[in-house]
Amino acid sequence: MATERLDAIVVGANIEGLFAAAALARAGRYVAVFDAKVETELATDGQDCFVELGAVAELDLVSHGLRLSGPSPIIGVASEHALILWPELQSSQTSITAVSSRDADAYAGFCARIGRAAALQGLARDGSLSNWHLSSGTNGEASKESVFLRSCSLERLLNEEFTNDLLKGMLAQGALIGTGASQRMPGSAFLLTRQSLLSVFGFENSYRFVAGGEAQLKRALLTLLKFYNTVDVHYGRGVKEIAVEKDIVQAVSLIDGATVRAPVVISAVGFDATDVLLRNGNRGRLTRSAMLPPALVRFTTSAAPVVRGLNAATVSSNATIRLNPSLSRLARAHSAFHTRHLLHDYCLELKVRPRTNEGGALVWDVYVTVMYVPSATDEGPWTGNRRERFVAACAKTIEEWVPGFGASLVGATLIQPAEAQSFVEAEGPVPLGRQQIRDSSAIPEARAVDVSKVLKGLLTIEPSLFSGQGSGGLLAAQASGLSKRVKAASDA
Amino acid sequence: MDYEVIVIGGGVNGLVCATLLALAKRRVLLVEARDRMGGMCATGEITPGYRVSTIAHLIGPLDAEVTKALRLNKFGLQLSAKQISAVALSAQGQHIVLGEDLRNTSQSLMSHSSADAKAWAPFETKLRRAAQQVHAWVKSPPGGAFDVSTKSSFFSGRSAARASVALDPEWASIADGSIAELLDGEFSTPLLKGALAFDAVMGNALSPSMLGTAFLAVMRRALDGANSGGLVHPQGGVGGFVSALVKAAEAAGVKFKLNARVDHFLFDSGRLAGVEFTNSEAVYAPQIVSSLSPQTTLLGFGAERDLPIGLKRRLASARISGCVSKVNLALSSQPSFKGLDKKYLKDRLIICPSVDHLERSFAAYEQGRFSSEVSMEITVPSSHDATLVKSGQHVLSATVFYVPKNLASGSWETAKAELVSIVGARLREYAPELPDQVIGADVYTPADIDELSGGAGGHWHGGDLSFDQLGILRPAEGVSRSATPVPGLFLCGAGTHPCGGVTGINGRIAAEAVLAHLTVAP
Repeated sequence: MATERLDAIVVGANIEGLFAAAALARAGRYVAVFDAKVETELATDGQDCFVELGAVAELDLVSHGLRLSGPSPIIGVASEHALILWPELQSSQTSITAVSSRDADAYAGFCARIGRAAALQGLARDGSLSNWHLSSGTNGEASKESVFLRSCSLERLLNEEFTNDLLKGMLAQGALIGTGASQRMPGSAFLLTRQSLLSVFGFENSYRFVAGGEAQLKRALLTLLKFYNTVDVHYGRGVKEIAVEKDIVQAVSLIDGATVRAPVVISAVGFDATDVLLRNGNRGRLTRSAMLPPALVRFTTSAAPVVRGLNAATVSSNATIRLNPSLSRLARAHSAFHTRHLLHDYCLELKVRPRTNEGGALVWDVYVTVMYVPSATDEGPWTGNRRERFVAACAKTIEEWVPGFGASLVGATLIQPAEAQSFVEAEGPVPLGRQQIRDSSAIPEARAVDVSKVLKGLLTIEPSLFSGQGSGGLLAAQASGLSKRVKAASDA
Repeated sequence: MDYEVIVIGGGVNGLVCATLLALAKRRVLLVEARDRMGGMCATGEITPGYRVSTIAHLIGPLDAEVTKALRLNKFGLQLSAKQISAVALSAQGQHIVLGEDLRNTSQSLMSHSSADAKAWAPFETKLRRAAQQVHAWVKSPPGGAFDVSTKSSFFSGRSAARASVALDPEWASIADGSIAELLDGEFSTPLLKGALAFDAVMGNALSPSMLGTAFLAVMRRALDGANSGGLVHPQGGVGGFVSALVKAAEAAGVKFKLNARVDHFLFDSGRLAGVEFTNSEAVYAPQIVSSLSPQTTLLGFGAERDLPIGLKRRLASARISGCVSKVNLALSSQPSFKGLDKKYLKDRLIICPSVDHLERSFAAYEQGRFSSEVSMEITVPSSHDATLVKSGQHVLSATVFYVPKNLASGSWETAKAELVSIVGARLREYAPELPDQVIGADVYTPADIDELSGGAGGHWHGGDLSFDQLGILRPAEGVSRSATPVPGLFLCGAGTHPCGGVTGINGRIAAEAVLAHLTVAP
């Protein structure tokens, strides 16, 4: 197989990269996937993940060993009350009624409104807001609502719809996570139409947890690739450069010195990392990424964490728990992020998963997602002391909501934003783009796949660390023009 | 009834609207809460002998149709001879001139970057061309023209504006984005980018990296279009302009009622019938045009009872909080900026060294503070108009940007002095002797402007100019094109399309809407 002429090269054996490779493999294409990490490292990265049901069905991953969990709720806790939002509208409304019947009524209309806007998304994405305004009146009522949602701020929309601070805060946190955008940014309301959130609003429940996390999802994808047998996944072979001649992608050079040629390169490591791989005057020619990975902390405890006001079963039932989110706390975190400072109390999002450790004892992994954490701060880089203090501050915040959390802690790991983004080991952490330090005007998922207009044959996928996965890879494969089935040797 | 139309608020838009209606032979009463006309346009005294425009400091670009219909020149309006350009001030004296003449700008850019100097003309030409495409939209009611033929034929030759307009696809996608992104793609000189970004976002609680701020650069040029006189300085300050407007209104037959603060609307069998003032007096008319904010008008005077709840929430959630402070200084002698030819004292001087400065002061604003790096636009009105001060003396007027209306800590009473000292320190970097020339200062915070404008938030443009609050969505979906859901009630203030500023467009569009509404011939 190694002697075959390659149809495409995929940079990065992450979820999106493997999805892209799998989609191409299914079409009978010959593909090589390169990743600087070694396979054993990949098997252990344990963050839970969402996967897009459509993508799973498309590749029939369930028959390759993937197990999915059922739909999961999003829970917000504040000092006086908790709210539980389910994909099913009435259960959410029942929960909201306990704090505000007015908001419970509004919630149904709100969900429908987001649903309509999401349905119009494809349509609206092609149109320009400027031109909609200039020719407004000819586009009908539906587009008026869609334009409003595409251009108004989350803060404005949520204040217009709801009165309860916890409800507003938890919805805003879900929409903003990973974007670095402010709730006051015009257009931030449209983030609510992200596919990964729609399931929360009772629409097609398109995203599911993968039982066993990312490692399981990768395992299923690798099983699938073995099945098609046209894709080689090379672990421990990092890409040094994407070679471009006369604006056409030619090949990739590996850190070990080899050069591999292919007419299409799908880079699954994101815009910024891809930019670093381009040389000879091609750097800076790609669209800058709009994503800002949150900081991730994984705590391990020896006792089941019990969140005040919630029962233990709810806590470990795949729920996403947001601790005391509010628009004002999010605004404060964003402005600290904007001025590159660290705070002591962020709005934390938790997921709790029990597991059996190496010694056979039952422990609980608490995955904490912290948004608006600057990748570099004015006080200095992320050195040992700063990391410890950050982790300690997170633990302290959790302690307020989970009594006894600190006492039951047995371990903690931190992935700070720049690390979360870096896939190019040889280059060290990738500096964040300027766009990410500031507000971004882009809606992340609108840019999940970018077909380079200036460099022919290059596609980049923004790896998604927190929301649904799979669609980026499939879209990239589609956009490459190679996903249509070719007559493979086995068909003959 | 005595009157057909009551116009609330004697600001520029109220005056323009009332006068146009009177010129169309309608019986109009203009009511004003204070003891003088002009609203945000007034000439005041900093200290005895130093007169300056208090809030609004320049007028224009005036709507050509308004100037023509009101014959303002006949009523004593005198404008500065030339259109006012902008100068991006450099602390090192390497200023950049941004004006009509493309070569001038290129030349002043040479000392910064020859690549930028070369890129200027094509960039600005493209921007101006886009602005031409936006021009018709800015000057017409959004969402197509009113379906009237004869009633507003008063304004002849408007049919061209009815055609739907559009930007070239390439420009449309650029305009949708942020001004920071647009400028980063074109130029490298921080000072140039800073000044251009400042001009686009000034007055809005928006950072230059936010969605749609590039459109504001186009919109601004559309307002500045060749059909208008651009930004100008009226003789006698903006108060001089108001005097001319008042004379035009009187000549057209508008009646005035001063010191009449509206308390609530009066309804007769559910129909709008007039207004009652705080002193319990009342006046009656079936049509009312309000130049107050849409929020005050629709939520504060008793009309809210019959409004849909969704609309009330939309109005209440609109972003209309002010972020500009006005600082006026009385100077003992002519100010001198490092390396700046005296002839440029007639222009708008912009202090904004880079986009990052704006970003940082925006971050401070978001935290309820003002940054020590505030950006500002300076004019020296006395360099145009000798009547404002005694010979040799000067007045300087600065709009200071990203100043919060509500401070996170402390009160404005004490913070005013701090703001003046920050402005002084900032000015010293560019004009070392200037702070020592100051013999008096007046400060208007966003909270003051809010109070002066009748409690509408104190926004420089009557509300953020973002896509969710522009055009047919301005002030809110369901209330645009001047008309409101309350039959007979219209809006004509800065909160309506296209935006604030001393242009008269809002007042003229409202007058057209009222004329279209009136079915009985005068």
